[in-house]
Amino acid sequence: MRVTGPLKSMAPGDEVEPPELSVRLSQARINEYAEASGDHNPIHLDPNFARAVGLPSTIAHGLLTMAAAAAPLEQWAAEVAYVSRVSCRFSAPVPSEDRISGQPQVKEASAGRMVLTLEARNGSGEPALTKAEMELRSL
Amino acid sequence: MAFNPECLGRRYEAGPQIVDRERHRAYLRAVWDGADWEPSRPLATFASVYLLWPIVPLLFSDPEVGLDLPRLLHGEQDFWFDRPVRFEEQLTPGGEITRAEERRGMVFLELTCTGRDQAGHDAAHSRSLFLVRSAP
Repeated sequence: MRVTGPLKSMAPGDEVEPPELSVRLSQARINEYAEASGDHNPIHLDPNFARAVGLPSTIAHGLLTMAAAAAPLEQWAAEVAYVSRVSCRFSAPVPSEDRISGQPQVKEASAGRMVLTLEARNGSGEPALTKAEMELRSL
Repeated sequence: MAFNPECLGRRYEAGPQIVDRERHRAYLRAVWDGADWEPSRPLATFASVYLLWPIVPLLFSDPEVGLDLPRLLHGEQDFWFDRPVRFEEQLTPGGEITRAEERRGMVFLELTCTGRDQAGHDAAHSRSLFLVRSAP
């Protein structure tokens, strides 16, 4: 059965459509994340410092990129499942103001368990998150 | 300060952390535009706040490890959970260096953290791979 909208069940055989990822990681968002997370590394906050270490501009925290990619899927699945694992490799930086994008896919599905891919590209089209997966388990 | 590969196995302990709902609201606003969503459980990646970040400053400031912080990159991250974590519960994080090696001038350092609940059971885990680029 083809199922659209929020995930309502994890029945094997259902074709579900995870939401597309498209989030801009603005400097304001990066600043807000630094406050909320406690990660005040100046490569994320200070353009002069970022340039001094060879970056063209400030970059988003890897953990912000990961969280921004994961959050829409968590909301999508929240009624029926919890995240039992989320993992990724940070393969390319995401400069501030870049939009990250991707289309999660169902990689595995069985009774009570689903694994989704979580890859995301930065604004230049480079893979920013690779080997990125989220495992869901039924509540 | 030179990197010390003998740091493998070093352990760090932080004090108990509350999985704070208010702090989570600020975190959620920062990471996601679905601002009217009020989740009943913390986001999985919020483990970076209550599990990973209480330990990371202890590692980064440890003179026995000798990390060159301006050249440090976060290479990989993995969070996993034994059960759903709840708001307002208390978890106590501990961390251990589970990989420490230098190859062709690049440092590979893995930090594995576990959050234990008040009953003494493991609830949340984190594995972080940090890379330190060689100086030019």
